[in-house]
Amino acid sequence: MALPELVFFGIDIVKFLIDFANLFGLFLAISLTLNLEYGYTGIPNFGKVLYVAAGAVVAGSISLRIAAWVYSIDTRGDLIANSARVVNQANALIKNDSFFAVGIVLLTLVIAALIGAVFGYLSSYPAIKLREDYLGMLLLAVAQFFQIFLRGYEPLIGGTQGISGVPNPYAYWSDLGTGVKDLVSTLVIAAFAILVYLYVERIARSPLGRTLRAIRDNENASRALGKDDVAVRKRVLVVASAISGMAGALLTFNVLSVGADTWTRITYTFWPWMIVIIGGAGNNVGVALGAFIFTALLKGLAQVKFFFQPYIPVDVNWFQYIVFASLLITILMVRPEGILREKPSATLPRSKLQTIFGSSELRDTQIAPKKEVDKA
Amino acid sequence: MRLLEVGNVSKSFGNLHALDGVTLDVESKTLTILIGPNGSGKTTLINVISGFYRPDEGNVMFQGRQITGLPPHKIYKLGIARTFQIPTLFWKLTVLENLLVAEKNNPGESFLRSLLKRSWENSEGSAAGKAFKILELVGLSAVWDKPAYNLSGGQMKLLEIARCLMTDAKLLLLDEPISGVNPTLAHEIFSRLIKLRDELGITFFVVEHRLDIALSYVDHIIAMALGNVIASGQPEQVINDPKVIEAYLGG
Repeated sequence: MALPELVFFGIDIVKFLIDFANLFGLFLAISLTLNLEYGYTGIPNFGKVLYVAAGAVVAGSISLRIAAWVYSIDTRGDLIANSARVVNQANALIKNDSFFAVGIVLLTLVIAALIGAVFGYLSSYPAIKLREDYLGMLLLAVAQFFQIFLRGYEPLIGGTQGISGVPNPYAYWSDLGTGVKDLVSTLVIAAFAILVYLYVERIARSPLGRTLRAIRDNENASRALGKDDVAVRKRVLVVASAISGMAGALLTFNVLSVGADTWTRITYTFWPWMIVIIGGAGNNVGVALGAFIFTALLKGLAQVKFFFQPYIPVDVNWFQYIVFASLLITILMVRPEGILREKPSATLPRSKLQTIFGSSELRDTQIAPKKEVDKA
Repeated sequence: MRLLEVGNVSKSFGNLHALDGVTLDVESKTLTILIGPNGSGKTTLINVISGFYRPDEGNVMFQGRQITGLPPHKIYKLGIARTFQIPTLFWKLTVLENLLVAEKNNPGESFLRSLLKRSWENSEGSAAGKAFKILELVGLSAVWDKPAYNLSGGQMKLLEIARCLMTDAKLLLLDEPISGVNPTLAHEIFSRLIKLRDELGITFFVVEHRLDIALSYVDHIIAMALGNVIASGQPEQVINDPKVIEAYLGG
């Protein structure tokens, strides 16, 4: 059984849809964590790429080493230089090893989450008590520092050259037909994105979500009303960074390579910000819509941009930046809150609130509120 | 009974001695008002009591317990709530949500329990019931689902007070609750504070300039000037005190 090949106008539809789903799922998950941080809690995380990269590095470096160790593959003393050979042998063995295939994904996700969480805690530690602009600048700088470190430090993931291959845990399903292992990877990403959505939405509709919005709206008032805003911000950063780390790990298992230049602050900081701002900060449906618009534009423009080449005065590869920037500026001018606005936390349904309101006995026992008499 | 005791509290910002050895008591179940010219240290004192500033010297006792230097969120949990001179609401939250945030020890605020609606649904329901009662009391029930930024200036002041009432606090520190409020509503606010004092036994420590309105409601007056307490006692006695008159007119 192989995945069907449907080609229209030179586009392989099945492959296009799989690519689309991968991109949408990953950006949805990452943008939702940014929404938890920025949209709900007001943490300006300009270092989002750091946590995604941390998870991606974990998946690349750990899975390669574990595969070499479990299968006793000879690394000839230099794992990075021989990564392609190690991966080939490992993938051949994974085909018959369901335990390894599932185990390596789960183990990597756990470690990526832990490393992401630790990074989230440490990177924000010096500025978590300061005003939000300082925190934003610190996170931006730490993320940039991490990328420079990865470029220079080759033993981990091979610096700018990267690792020319990462063991493919989904290779176990490759006997089912061409493309099936890619589909499995996509399904894992989709399941992950759905879980992240449900998680963030659950928080948003709980008293915790309301408290996060309160801290965002007014730090001082939240303190005066018993909220330990610093502790809450720390926890949000840790949770969001752990999820971002997992997204990074799934990214590595999807593209099957990792290097210091696989990601930049544009891909996993700027784009998630754009998605959140366009879709609507503090609204998860909005963020999902933003992620969809972003993915559709990115994939769509990639298909059509060469038709525009004769008509635009710049290299066509910069075309998407022009389109995204124009969209962002338009939204900020026309609808600064994003396409979908923030809604109340709705911990209880409105009907229930009205029942509670109606049954309030106060009206008889206390003075009825007088109408404000400042007409005249 | 003394609910709040401030002993020899000093607080400086550089060369500015905002509080210079302030000592005062607030009696339980009274409405005590703090007056003084601008810059006399009233708001600084409120900030020290509520934990926003750590005093350089001196101590603050609440119900006989040392609270000096505790962070605001812990002081709140001990039963002191405050409002701000400039309304500091949760602007994008609705009026009802502004009150619900103030609920103490809310189980649904935990990162794990927030995921299990069953674990907080009941407490949320009773908090909403309490919130609606308070909204009726302060006359905001008609706007319960409006976002806070849509309220009028007077309503914002009322919402700040309402938020404090959610907490079952024993002591409310109100920083100019009627500034910018029309006289009718201002009288109404004070008569409601009196009602709360009598019915719920809440103690109020209020910074207020508008003595013309406040005077008929207060039990005690404390006057400050240049970071010091210059007079305290019965209203008549304090406002006729030569030092108080001098602080307001002279200098």
